[in-house]
Amino acid sequence: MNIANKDLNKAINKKIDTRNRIIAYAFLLPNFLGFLVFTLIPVLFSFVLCTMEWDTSNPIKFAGLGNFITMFKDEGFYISLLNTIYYTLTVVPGTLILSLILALALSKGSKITNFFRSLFFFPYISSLVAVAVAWNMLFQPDMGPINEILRSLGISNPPGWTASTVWAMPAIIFVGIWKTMGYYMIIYIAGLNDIPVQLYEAATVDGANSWQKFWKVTVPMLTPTTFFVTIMLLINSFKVFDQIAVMTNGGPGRATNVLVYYIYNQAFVNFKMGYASAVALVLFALVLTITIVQFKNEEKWVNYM
Amino acid sequence: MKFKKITAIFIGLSLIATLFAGCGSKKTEEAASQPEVQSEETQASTSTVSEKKKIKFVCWDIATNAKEFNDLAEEFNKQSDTVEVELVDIASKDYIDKTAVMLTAGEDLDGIAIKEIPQYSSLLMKKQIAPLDEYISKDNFNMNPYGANADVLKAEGKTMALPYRSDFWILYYNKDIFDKAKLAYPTDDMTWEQFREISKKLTSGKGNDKIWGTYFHTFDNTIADISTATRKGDLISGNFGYLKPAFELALEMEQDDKSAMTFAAAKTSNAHYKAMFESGKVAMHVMGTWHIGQLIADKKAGTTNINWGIAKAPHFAENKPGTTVGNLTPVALLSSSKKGDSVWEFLKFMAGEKGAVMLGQRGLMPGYINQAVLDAVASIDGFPKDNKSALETVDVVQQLLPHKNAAQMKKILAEESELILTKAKSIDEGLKELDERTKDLAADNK
Repeated sequence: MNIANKDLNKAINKKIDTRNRIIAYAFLLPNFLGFLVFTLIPVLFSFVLCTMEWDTSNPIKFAGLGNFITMFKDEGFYISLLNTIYYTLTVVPGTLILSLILALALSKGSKITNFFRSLFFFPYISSLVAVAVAWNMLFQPDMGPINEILRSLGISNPPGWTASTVWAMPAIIFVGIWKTMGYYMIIYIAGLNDIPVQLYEAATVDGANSWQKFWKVTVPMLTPTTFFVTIMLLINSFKVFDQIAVMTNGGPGRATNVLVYYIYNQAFVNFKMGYASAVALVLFALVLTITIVQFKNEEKWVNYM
Repeated sequence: MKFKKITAIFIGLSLIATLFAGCGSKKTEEAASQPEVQSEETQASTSTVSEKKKIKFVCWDIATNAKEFNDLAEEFNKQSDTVEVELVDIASKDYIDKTAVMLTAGEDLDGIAIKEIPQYSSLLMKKQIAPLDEYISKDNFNMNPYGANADVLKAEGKTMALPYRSDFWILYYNKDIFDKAKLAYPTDDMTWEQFREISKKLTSGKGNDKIWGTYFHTFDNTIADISTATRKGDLISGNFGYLKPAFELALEMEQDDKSAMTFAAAKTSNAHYKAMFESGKVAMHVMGTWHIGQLIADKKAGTTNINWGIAKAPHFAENKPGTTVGNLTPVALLSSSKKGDSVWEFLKFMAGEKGAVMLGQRGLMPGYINQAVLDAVASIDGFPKDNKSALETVDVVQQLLPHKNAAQMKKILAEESELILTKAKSIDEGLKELDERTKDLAADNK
C-alpha cells in the first residue's frame, strides 16, 4: 500500500513537473525562436565565415587563416583596435565615477532630487541620432556654443572637436558618458538604498567621519553594484557604434574608427564578409576574456554580505 | 488542469503567431506602399489589360529628390502594352547598403538604377547584373548618342548597363552678389586662378551677414575632382601627386583668403550646398548639373529668390574650357531576373531618347544626348537661356572608373582628404599616405 502510494505520488509529481516544464518552455519559445534565428545562427555562421572569403553573391571560397594573416598586417585594424581601447579605458571609469557621484548626491528621495534624477536620466531614453546631431552643433568649432564659452574664458584657440584628429575622440567619449551615466546612476541609487542604515549608525557610534563612512561602509557595500556596472559598461563600450556612425563616421581620417564600425564597413561597404567575421571574432574573444577575468576575480573584491 | 494545459499551449502558440505576424505585417506594409507609386490611371489600365508583364525596378527617393523615376515609370506604363513597371523606392541615404542586402537575400527584383560607379563596380564583381548585348543587337539599338560613356560601362567587352544620366560639374553664380560687387559675371573660359581672385573679391561681411566667394561641398571627391579633370592621374591607379594643385587651391582659399568656408566648419555644421547657395550666402560654386533642376524647382516653389546663372566649370590654364569631371548614373538588368525582355523595354525607354527628353525637361542631364535633348533642357521655363553654352563640354573625365577597388578607394580618398583639409596632415604627407594605402589595397585584393 505504502509503496504503491509512493509510486503514485512520484508519478503525479513527475506529471506536474513535466507539465510545468512544458509551460515554461512554451513561454520561452517565442523569445528563443527570435534569438535562434536572429542571433545564434548568424553568430555560428560568422564563426564559420572567418575562414572563408565571401562577397555575399559569388560562391564562398575557403581561405584558411588568410583572413587572420591579412588582419595582422592591416593598419586599419590596429587603428580601430587602439581607438576602441582608448574609448573603453576612458568611458568605463568616467561613467562609473560620475554616476556614483550623481547617485550619492541624489540618493535621498525628495521632489528636488526626483527632478534632477529625471534630468540626468533623460539622455539615456532620448534618441541617440537626435542627441548626436545636437551635440555636433554644440561642438561646432567656429560658431558652436562650447567654443564660444571657451573663447569668452580667454582660450584663444579652442579645440576643433569633431573636426580635429586629436579632439574628436574626447568629444565622442564625452557624449558617451553623458548619455549613459543617468542609467547607471539609477542602478547606484538602488544599490545605495539597499545598504542597511544600522551600518552607518554603528559607524557613527564608533566615531567615524563621513569620509571614513564612505570608504569603509558605502564603497564595500556597493561592490556588487559596481561589479555589475563595470561588466555592462565594458561590454557596451567595446560595442560602441551608433555615436560614431552619427557624429563622425569614424573620421576625421580614421581618428574615431572603432572595431564595430570597422567591421560594419568591411562587411557592408566592402562586402568582405569573411574578413569582417574574422575581426568580429577577435572582438568577441577580447570581450569574452575580459568578462571571464572579471568573474574569476569577483570574489577578491566583491562583497556579498 | 486540462484547461490550464490548453491555455498554456494556446498562449504559447499565439505568442509565436504574433512573432511571425509581426514580421509578416512589415513586409505586407512595404509591399502595400509600393503600388501607391503608380497613378490611378495606370492602375485602371492594368485591370483592363491583364496580360501585361509586371517587373520591379529599384530606385531611390521617388517622392522627394528623384520624382523623375516616378514620371518615367508612369509615362512608360501608359505607352507600353506589354510591360508594367513597378518602382521599389529606397531612401537615397541607405540606397547602396540596402540594395546590396536585398539582392543577397534574393528578393524578387528585375532592374536597378545604380547610384554611383563604386556601386556599379560592386554589382559587376558580384555578377548581379546581366549583359545587355543580345537585346541591343536584337533591337538594333543606337548606342552612339551615349558617346564615350557607353564604353565606360563595358566589362570584358560586354555592355553591362546603359548610362541613364550623365552629370558633370559646372559653375553656378548669384547675379545679385556680382552686381553688388560691380564685377562681371563669370564666363565660360574662367581659370582656377581667376576663380580664386574673384572669390576673394566677392567675400564680405561677418557672422550672419557673411557672404562667401565660393563654397566647396564636403563630397568625398569635391577637391580631388579639380585635378582629376586634367587627366594627369586617376583615383584608382595610385601616384596621387597630381592632386596637389587642387588641395593647394582649396587650402589657400579656405585658410588664407578665407573666401570659402573651411572643410571642418562645413562638415561640423552639416552645411549643404543647396541651402548655402539658395540662401544667397555664396557668390558662386562648382556643382553637378543636377543642381539646375533643383534651382528651377525651388525658385518655382518660392523657397529661393536668387537670380542665378551658369558657366562652364573653371579649368587649369593648361586645359581647354569645357574640361570637367563627370559622373554616370547607370541603369541595369539584374541577373536574377527572369524577365530580361520586359526589363530591357523599360531600360530602353528610360535611358533612350524618350526618357532623355523627359529628363531634359526636368533640368537633368541624361546620358543619351542629341539635339532634341539639349533643346529640351534649354527650353525649360526658368533655365538661364543666355548661358546655354555652359552645357557644352570639350572633355568630360569620369570621376571614377569601374574597378573592383572603387568603393574602397573612395573611402580611403575621403579619409585622407579629410586629414589634409583639416590640416591634420600636410598635402605631401596626405598624398604619400594615399599612395601607400592604394598599394596595400592592391596587394590585399589581388
